[in-house]
Amino acid sequence: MNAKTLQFPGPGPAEEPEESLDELLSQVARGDEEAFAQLYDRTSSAVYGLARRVVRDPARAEEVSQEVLLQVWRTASRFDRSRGSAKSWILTLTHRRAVDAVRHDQASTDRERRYDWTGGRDVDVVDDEVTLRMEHQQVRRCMGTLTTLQREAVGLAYYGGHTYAETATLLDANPATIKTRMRDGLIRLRDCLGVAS
Amino acid sequence: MSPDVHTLVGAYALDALDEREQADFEQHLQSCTTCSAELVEFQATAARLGEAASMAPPAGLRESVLAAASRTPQQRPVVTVVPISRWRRYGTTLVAAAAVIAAVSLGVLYVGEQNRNDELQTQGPVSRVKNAPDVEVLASGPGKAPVRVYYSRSLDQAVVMVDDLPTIDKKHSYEMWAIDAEGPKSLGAMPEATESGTKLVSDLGQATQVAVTMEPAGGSPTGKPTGPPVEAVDLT
Repeated sequence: MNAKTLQFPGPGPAEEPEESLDELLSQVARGDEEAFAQLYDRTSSAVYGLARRVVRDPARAEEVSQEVLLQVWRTASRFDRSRGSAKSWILTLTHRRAVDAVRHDQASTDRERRYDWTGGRDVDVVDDEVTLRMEHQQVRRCMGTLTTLQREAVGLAYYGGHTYAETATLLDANPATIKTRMRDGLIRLRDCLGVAS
Repeated sequence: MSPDVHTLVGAYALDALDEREQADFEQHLQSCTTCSAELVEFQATAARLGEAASMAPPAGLRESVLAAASRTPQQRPVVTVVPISRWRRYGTTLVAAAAVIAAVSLGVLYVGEQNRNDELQTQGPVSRVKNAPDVEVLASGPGKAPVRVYYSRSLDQAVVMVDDLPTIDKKHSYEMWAIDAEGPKSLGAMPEATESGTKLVSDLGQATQVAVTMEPAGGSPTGKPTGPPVEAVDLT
């Protein structure tokens, strides 16, 4: 694209310039609370939305979001730009935390039922909406380029918080196949979304 | 690099490995530059899936996060030195034992692991606790103790690692208990005839001790320990 991007007053461009989010994060690492407030404004919808998608319960999602955002505040100095963008880091933390939360909640339930330690989840409930309700056009389009098995494997793991072994059970497939589909599905998504290293 | 381990990159980026595989993969990751490069791209890809789920948070969240941040100190890489308690055996009830041990624990210095800068981006929940800057490592005895508890106050999570308890048969399971003022609460039974395992625990609460008992296969039928602890770790 040759034309210069016009700057309109108002809410600003839809895509966050990653460079400045990275810069904000370095300011946060130096204890700048104002930078943290800005960082909150730019990332809280993504953090909360992802937490909500994975843990489902709004109150629990709020709790997870608060923990993640505080973790960002506390550990901003440990962000390493060479290992990805600030947004990628924050969403990686969010997903971990959300998945920990669902697995922990499930483990507590299992414990009450007296079967535990390896902590199997309730696999009777198949999450059939994970691949269907995506707001983001490009992500939706790229998910559409995956094979059905790739799409289901990636969706159940990422949005459903399932392990690959659980995903294999849900899809009645071989766990080794599911592992492979997760990887080749991500490769295809990466290329479609134009994610460069 | 085994091709099998490499296929785990995808599942790892989606947080779809169980704790043990996650730990194994993280080990592998340290020596596999191809994996790290691919992981960075996969995490960025997964982040796009995450962004696609964006949703406005409740209005009160902003204020509570900012208020919490203003009273929360930020982390720096540190070496922690924490007391470890002397190993003890108890013959009586767990609750009484917990009270006794609090009074007689013996401090031993333990040096926690130093942080590495890139850890947060690649580690799973178990390593995250074990590598937390404020991790306290508590063991059921000196040297190679069979039960270790890694506790991070900032993460409010602990990892209980059990290694090489005495061999038991198929009719028995080891069961872990968190003991607080109200008595023992089960942290779950290990599979029968199993002497080693790892578990992430997020609800230690006010527990003062983690203990292990031998129970019938699958865990205590009563929900309470049926015998004296085989090993115990004092948390105070």
